Amino acid sequence: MAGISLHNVGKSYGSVEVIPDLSMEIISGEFLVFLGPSGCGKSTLLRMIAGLEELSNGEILIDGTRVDALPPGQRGVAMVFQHYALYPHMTVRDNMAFGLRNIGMSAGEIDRKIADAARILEMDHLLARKPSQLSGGQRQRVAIGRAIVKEPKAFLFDEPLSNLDAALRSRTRIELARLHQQVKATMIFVTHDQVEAMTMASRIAIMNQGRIEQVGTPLEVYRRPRTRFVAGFIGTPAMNILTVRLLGEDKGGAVVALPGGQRVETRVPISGLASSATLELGVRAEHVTTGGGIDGRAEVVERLGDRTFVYARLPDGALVVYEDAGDSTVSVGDPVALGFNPAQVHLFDSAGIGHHAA
Amino acid sequence: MVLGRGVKKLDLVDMLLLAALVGLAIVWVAPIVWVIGLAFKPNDVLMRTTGGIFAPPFTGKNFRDILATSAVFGWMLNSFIVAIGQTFLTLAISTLAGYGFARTDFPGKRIAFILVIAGLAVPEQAIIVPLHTMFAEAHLHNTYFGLIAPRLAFPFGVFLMYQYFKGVPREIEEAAMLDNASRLKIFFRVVLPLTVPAQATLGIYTFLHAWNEYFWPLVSATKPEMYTLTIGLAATQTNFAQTEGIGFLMAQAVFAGLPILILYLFFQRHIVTAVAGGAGK
Ligand SMILES: Nc1ncnc2c1ncn2[C@@H]1O[C@H](COP(=O)(O)OP(=O)(O)O)[C@@H](O)[C@H]1O
Ligand SMILES: [Mg+2]
Repeated sequence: MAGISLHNVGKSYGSVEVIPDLSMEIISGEFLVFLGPSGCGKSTLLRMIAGLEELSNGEILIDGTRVDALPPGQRGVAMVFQHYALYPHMTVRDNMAFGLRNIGMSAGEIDRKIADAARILEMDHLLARKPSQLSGGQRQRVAIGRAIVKEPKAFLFDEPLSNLDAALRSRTRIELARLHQQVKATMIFVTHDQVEAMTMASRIAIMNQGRIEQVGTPLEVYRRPRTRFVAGFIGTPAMNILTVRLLGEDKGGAVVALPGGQRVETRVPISGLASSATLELGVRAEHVTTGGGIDGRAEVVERLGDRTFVYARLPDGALVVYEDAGDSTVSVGDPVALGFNPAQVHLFDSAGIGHHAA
Repeated sequence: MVLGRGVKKLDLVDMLLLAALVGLAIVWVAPIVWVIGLAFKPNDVLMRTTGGIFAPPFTGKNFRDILATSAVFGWMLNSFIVAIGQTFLTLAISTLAGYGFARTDFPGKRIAFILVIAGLAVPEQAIIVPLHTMFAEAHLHNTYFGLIAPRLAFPFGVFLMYQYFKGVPREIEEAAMLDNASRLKIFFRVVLPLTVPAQATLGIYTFLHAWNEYFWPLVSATKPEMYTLTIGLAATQTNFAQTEGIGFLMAQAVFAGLPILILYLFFQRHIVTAVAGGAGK
């Protein structure tokens, strides 16, 4: 169990700057998820922590000790790769034993550790098999087992669930969360899937183009997105974003107008908004109410059973999605009247910074 | 071909395909059967006709004559030494070079690799004269080294292994790095075992080529005790009067082919893969 510090970490490939300058503290024992679109530098960052990629700038400390000059094996971390990276010619048992033998652990102790890990992951019956004789989910388990037996200070996961089918993915998510509670080690998990991030993370660090946009608990980043990018990235369906114009202030909150002229009240303090050249309003589907003064027409109706998402076209051309009851009677083409819950409306200034209800 | 349980009954298309394959196989096998048949016929009979190979008289004299050429086992030994030496050294060199090109960075790598690829385009015959001069000046003719060395620079082998190493996911080696394995250990314990199919392909190919090689040994081995089997057998049939007869010639062909046949029986599965281009896993 260890805290990991990233100090001004930078990475360039030639003239391509993948990570300009990134600093953050990963707290000992937490489940930290780096979340971002593909190509934003998540793997690069993880690989730098693992020692598989050299730093162009900055330093990395694990437990207060500088590790960026150490070879991967000596950093006390274990990594689970996207494609599992099991040794194909070794049995499951040998896959797990390989790293332990390399550090000169006694055969008895190796056997004990493998037995422990196999029990935790319920894979005793797989130990004698080769990776080619395993299903995708089982391979994933072995890859995790190979990490567990090393009792690392930190686990590094690089999109380990992306090759699993949906059912297996959600089951493995639960198992990983359980594993985290069991082994209590620091876990760093990289993914582009916000559901994975929301369900497993103690904290999420949302990345965009090599920069961290926001670090916070799942609810913090969901409720108070620091930037427009975070707002758009977290949550399904994505937050509605509409261009608006500042009208003034009412009861301590900014009042804005949609392009079609409809007035929208918010609880967002007006300070700092007036100077912004443009403003965007963000509101999630579950905070759009029916029966307000904004008219539209239902264009797509998505029925999920427990709830319904209705995509409504406003007269100015904007598309707004709102959540309706599971047994909603709205059908395509119906006129709808919408309103926004003022306490749940966000405003984003021209720098993309989010302003929320106080 | 034996049809196992669970194999569906042959339909018309399958039957036609099978018939065509059997036909082709017969066309292909017939000359070989003929060669074997002729090898067991007395030479004086063959002077009159080479037909009727399935009818008596038969004889083992042709093979006895080969064995009576006292040098023949020496030549066979030479062939084995050359073929096995060439196989192992080619495997070692191609594997190391292939790994180097696929996974390490060093100054001049691009140029070196381009040279290797260019080497693919050079036919062996084109360099035989300079090679001969070179080996003559170094007094390496009539040595095992002289017989083995020229083909160790085998661009195709390097290229094959390079391609194969490229196909091994880097993540596997990275996992081994995180598992505290040294570069050598990663090479020998993690990567090398994965290349066994390619090694088998290259090894069998090299061995067969070395065993059948005629041109270079003809140039390099001029002393009878250094002859390989191909050169030695050819040397015993240089009389154009054909006093030794067709049967004897055929027996020589069979004799030279026997070790390859035995090799084939042992490595059948790998040879099929090798011929199929090493694509099978
Ligand atoms: N070896 C490399 N050489 C050049 N560019 C690279 C290299 N590895 C990654 N990149 C670039 O760095 C960026 C981030 O890659 P990566 O960390 O793999 O993203 P992610 O894991 O978030 O999808 C990508 O634009 C990618 O093209
Ligand atoms: Mg990635």
